[in-house]
Amino acid sequence: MDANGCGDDLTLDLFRMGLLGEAEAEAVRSHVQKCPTCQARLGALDLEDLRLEAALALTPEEADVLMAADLPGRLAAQVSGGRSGAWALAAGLVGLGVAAAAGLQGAVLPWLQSSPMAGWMRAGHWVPQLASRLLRWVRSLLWSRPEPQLDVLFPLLAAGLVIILFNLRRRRRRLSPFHH
Amino acid sequence: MTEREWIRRAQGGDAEAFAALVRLHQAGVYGLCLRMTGRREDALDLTSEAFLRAYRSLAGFDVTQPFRPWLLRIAANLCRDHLRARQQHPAPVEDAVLADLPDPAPSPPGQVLAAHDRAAVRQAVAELPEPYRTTVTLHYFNQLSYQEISEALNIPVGTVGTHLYRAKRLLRQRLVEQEVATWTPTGAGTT
Repeated sequence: MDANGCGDDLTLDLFRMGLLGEAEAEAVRSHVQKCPTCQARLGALDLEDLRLEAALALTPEEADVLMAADLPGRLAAQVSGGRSGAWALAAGLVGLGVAAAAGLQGAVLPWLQSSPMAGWMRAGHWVPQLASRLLRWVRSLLWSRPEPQLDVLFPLLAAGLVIILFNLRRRRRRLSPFHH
Repeated sequence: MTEREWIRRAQGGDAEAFAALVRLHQAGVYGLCLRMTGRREDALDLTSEAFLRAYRSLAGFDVTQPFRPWLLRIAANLCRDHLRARQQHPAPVEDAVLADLPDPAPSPPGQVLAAHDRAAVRQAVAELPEPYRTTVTLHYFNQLSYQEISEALNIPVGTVGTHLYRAKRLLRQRLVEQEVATWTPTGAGTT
């Protein structure tokens, strides 16, 4: 406050916004009522606000860019896709879990041997032979472990790895629709 | 249908309700991002990302609270991260340094901003240190009250007032400098 009792700009700003304490606001109000200088300053601050609002408002060209981007449509489609993607991921994980459990329980190999593919497998094609060897190797690896809890731990780790890789891939592939 | 009902439906996974919310608030979020970054493409990307983040966090949103400041808070945080990552602007000036800046004598409030055109004012706003630019944009573009800005930026109400006051002081100073730099002796004044 100066010698004439005029407050600084910050005090006037806070007064305009109603953010001064009751006593201080009353002091400013009674001063402004009899001080033409402060009345002019308040008017100037109001004008400044209007100028800033006008300067920062969206221009018609800027608004056109926004409308052309069709954000509501794009984003709605994206969240819908995200939901179906989550369902697909959940279904994939369930399938993976079932497959892992079946493999660990020794259900896969006998099933393959009794299936119509068995003849093809016996014919010596390298793909089923390799798959069969891999399956046997994984089973022997898991069953030979002394701790039975590892039988559960390995598929869980594998599922976790799949989830992490899936998310990393999605993150990398999420390209901006506005950058070309 | 009210905004609160759209929010409730969007919380339940209704994409159409989410689209309605985007339609309702896209101009505010886009404007904030545009004034913060100064680039239309970046602003569109950030607007898009702000709405997606809002959607992901919508389940935890309390519908009795105002939605707009919450959404603008997400957008403002994204803009800050974006600017920090790109280092497009000088590091924020400390408040203590800004407080010591003198008011230019020939620029009483209102007169300088009134004399300048929109482009000059925008340029001056774009050159403000980040916290001031955010506060100015939220107040003068998004029309948030001091209280709402305080909640959106998680700073005290008094700090909002101080930021705006100092921001306007800097704006006046920069606009005076621009006026001096573009002044021509023919009497044409400013460009």
